[in-house]
Amino acid sequence: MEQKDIANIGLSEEMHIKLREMTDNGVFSEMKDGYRLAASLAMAHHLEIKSEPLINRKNMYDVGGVDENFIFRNAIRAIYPEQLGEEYKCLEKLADLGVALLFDNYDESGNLDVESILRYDA
Amino acid sequence: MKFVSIEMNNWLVFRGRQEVIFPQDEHANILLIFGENMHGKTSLLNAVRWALYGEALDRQKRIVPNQNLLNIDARSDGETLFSVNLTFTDDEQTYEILRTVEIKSDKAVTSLIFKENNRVQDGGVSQIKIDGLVPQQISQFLLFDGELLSEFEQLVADETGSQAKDIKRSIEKALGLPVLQRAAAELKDLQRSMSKNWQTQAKKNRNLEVLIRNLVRHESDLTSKNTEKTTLEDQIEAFNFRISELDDQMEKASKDLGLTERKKLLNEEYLKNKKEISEIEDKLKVHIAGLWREPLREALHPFITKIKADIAATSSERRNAELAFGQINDLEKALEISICSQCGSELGGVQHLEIKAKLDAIKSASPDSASLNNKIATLQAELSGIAIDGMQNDTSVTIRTLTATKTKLFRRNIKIEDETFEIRNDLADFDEENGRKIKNEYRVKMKEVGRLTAEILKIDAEIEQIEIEIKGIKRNPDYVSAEGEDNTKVKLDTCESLLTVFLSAVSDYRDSMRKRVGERASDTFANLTTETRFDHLDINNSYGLDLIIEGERVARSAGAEQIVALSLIEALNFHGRRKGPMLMDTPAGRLDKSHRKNVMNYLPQVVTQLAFFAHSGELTDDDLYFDRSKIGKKYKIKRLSSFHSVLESI
Repeated sequence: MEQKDIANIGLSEEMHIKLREMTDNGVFSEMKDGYRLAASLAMAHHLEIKSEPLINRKNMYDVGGVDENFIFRNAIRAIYPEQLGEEYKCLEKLADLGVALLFDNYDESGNLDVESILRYDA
Repeated sequence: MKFVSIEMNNWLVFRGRQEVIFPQDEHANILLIFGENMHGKTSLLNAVRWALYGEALDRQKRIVPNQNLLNIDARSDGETLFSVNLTFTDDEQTYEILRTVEIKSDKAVTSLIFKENNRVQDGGVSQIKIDGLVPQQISQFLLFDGELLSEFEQLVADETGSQAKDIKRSIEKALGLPVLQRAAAELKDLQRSMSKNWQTQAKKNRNLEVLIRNLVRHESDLTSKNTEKTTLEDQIEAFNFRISELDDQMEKASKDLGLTERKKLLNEEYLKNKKEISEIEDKLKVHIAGLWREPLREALHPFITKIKADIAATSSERRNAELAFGQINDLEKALEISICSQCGSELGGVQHLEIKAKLDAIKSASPDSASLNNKIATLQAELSGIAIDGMQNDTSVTIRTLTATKTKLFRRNIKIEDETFEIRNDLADFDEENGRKIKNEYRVKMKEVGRLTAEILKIDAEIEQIEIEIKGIKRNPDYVSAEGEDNTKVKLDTCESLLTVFLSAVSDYRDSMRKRVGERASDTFANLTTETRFDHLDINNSYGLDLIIEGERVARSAGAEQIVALSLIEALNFHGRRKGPMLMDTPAGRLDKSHRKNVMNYLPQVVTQLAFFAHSGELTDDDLYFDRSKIGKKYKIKRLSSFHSVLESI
């Protein structure tokens, strides 16, 4: 099963642009920080993982560069056991969903509405 | 001045009351009184003189005592009173003099009543007033004896004689010189007095020199300080003028400079905020970089909780297994040695079986301890796999705080930008450099005014001190006396200058008057003389007149002497202080008929009244030499006895 998973992770083109914009506007030091936060938020908000592949996917990192201690892989295994073996495919979908959430809570001043993004509906 | 009348009572030869009325018509102003020698012509002349001055003169010009003026017949009849009442007018005023003498035991008691317009005047000033109207010194040119005229002229011709000097003095009195001479004499007295004071003062205190030197120095310092003060005040005025000019510009400049300053402060704040924002943003990036842990923890929380619960349950299960293992060991050991592990008694067969059954039951109920350990290890591995390293509980709080601060700073900077924009618009036409120049100049000028004011206060203090020093010197007794000395010197110098000028003026006046008298006498002589070659009369310092004919000084005949004298008298009468009548006793004297005629025709023209007291050798009613229409009154003195004459109007 592990052979089905991916070694490099990325985002859809749209989300890549949005993450780039937020990074460029100083929300993140680097896109990787936004990427991690986006994936975490998607998990915390129990966003639904779509089965469709990302549209115009943009490859961004090797998985080790983002998930240095395999925390994301392990978390996905725990939270999404059905994704076993495709944890990183799941991860990039989660990140793609999370970037959209981040972008919705980001203003042009470069501020992220942390309070909103960390408010989890029951 | 004109005589109105004279009334005599028991006066010398005139027994009882006798009166002469003087002519008042200016065209018929001649009074003729005929009288032979010893009949009383001179007594009549003396009556006028005595009424005016209280003195009667004999032919030698000596004063006749009052006791001798009472008519001898009247005295013989026991009468003791005699009087003369003279009435005259002057400047439209009427004056009356009533002089009376009562002889008591050969002593004469005199009384004088003087009336002005019928009002009796104060007796104390009566004589003074009379002298003012008809000065005694000119009387000899009003009332004179023609027989003495030639003698008179001879006297004045001799400049060195004492009588000539007396006559000269009289002439100059008539000309008003004594007033000036008295003033000159008073000035001389004053000058002498001041000179004496000056000499006395000059000998005083030697400290004076030192005091004055110090005073001069202080006064010089005072002048210098006052000049310095004035200069400073001028400078202050100039500065204040400039300051008032700058005031108007200052208001705008100050406002603009204030805005400039505000802009600068805002800019500093803006940059500071910006820097802080940048720092916050850096911190935010750091914190946001780690923020992913919080939602991940939130997502994993139920799983972690469950794993932990599973671990706890498995651990509990393992502890139970371990307890069971101990019981198993104890039961197996008891079975092996057949002794109860609890009570120590030997086990029977039944007991043996019961224990064995219990042992089997325990063994069957007890889980496998090794599998429990494996399960726990597996759960712990799972837990470890989702353990989040570097988790900080307050990351989101910190981010919110930092974000709020950043937002606040950001909004503040927007406001700063807005305000700066407005300030920039307000300062569009502001020349900051010029504004600073104005402000600097204003500050410098104000500072300078303050400095100058302080200097003036210092100078004022110095001036006050100098004035104290000066006052001290001026209060010094030596200086006070010296100041008197100084004033005395000034007064002395002034007085001497005034005296010099005054004496010069008096001398000029005397020379001028003498020249005018000489010229008038020459004119009069020309009218009186029959000498066709007559050139002029040359007057000397004593008012003596030399007869100049065809440019040559010539010796004068007795008749010429009388004409010269008449000319002088007329000139003096003309230039004297008051024009009046002329009363001549024995006027023709030594004159020939031609000269008599000239005299009789000329003199009435130059006097207010002309009275001739003539004897038959001079004039007779039939041989008068002049125009009869000019005769206003005529009297004849009739002698009744040696001491009794009467006047009869003819």
